[in-house]
Amino acid sequence: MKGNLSIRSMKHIVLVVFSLLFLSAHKIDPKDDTKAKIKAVYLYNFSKYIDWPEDYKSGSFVVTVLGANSSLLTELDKMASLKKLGNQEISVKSISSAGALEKSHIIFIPFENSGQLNEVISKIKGNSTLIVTEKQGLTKQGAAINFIVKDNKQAFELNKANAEHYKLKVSSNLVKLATLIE
Amino acid sequence: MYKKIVVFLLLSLFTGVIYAQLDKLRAAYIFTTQQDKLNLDSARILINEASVFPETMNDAQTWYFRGFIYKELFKRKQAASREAKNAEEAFKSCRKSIELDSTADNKANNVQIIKSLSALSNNTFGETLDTINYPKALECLALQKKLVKFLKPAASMDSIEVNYEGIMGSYFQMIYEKNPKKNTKFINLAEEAYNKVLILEPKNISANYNMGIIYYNQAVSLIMNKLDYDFDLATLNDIQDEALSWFKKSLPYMEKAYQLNPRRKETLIGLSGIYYSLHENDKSQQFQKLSQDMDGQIEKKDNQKEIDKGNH
Repeated sequence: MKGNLSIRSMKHIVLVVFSLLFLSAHKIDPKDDTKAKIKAVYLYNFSKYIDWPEDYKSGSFVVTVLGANSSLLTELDKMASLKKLGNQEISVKSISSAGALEKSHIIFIPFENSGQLNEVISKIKGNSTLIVTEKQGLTKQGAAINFIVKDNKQAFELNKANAEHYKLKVSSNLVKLATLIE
Repeated sequence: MYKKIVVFLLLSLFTGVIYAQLDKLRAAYIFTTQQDKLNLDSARILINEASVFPETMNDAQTWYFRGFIYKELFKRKQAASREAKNAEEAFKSCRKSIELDSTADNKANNVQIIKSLSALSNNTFGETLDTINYPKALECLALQKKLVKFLKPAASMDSIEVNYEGIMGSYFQMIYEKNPKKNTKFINLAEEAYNKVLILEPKNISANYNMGIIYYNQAVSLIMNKLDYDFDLATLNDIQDEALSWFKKSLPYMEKAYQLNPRRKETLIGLSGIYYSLHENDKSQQFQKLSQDMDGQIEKKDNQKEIDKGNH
């Protein structure tokens, strides 16, 4: 009788534990920001499809993010720890305002900081910095590349003239894949 | 009483008076009283002979003993090595015994064996639900369904099946989430289990929600784990297409879970995540806000409880 009770108790426990497992929710992981990863892959690709002047081909390849977009910075840091561009190590920097911008290969201006584009442009002056933004219309205001959403996917616009203005040569392959803005 | 029967049967056997098939039946039962592998195996041979011999094959006791012996054969091994076919034989034998003699006593004795089988099967299910032994768990699940159907004929089989399949799905999903790269196949098993639940119960909230999560995580895994920085832009575009199809597949399940229970916080977070990934930021923020509002309401309730406690 005692044995039967024990089996019954065990059966009950097993059922309860596993039923709770079913009812308890599996959750999504908010740390997994897929959009940030996709943007990081895009930025890495831009660096391969664009040719910088000779004096930018030594030292670190600097990617600066304007603002504290933590998901993107995390992804870019991961990228920097895994990849190189030729012999150049990738260095990722975050600045809180356009005024703090130093010599960079790429400056990324997130949507919420789009208002600082003009300040960024005046800070770049004659440097060869690729300006990447993510707000509609900014390729007409000086950005070379602007992230857009097309059919629920991340895509990009390219204003070739804006890139060339900063002595950047854009590969024809990149041109083919972009939505061109003149 | 039990001991007396055993002593009597032992005496009968060893005096060598009778060596007919009937004694094989008795001997088989005696062997089962020893917790020894050899005797249990011998019992099986003897009871199987008795179960086909004309004098004993239609005796309810033969099948009761057979049920008992096969139940013991199932029980004697560790969970991972238990053979469901032994439990199936035991179950079959008990039913046959009841068919031959439907008196209350005989029925009660056989039902006792079937209940033991059900407990054993359920425990085996729990003990073998892991990455290596899970086929055994599936086997026991199938067995358990048959046993419960017999023991509780009035119970809804659908709800029993929903519960077990839900458990399986959730477990496989958990295994997958622990190590998606290594445990890829488990996500398919989880999907299969939830699909079974949804066929039986389309409005099952957990199954709808978990299906949404499965497809959402497939998309996330594709981007976070399989998308390499070295991939060119054309490949990146292809991967986005594939991920998009997973996100779109997850959406109706999560929406259904939301319709069925709009106040479940996990669902609100899930919908916010899916819409965010689909670049539908307004909708994403709308669900994020609903989820945050819910946090606020919970906090308010907790504070009120504290105040009430203080007043008392």
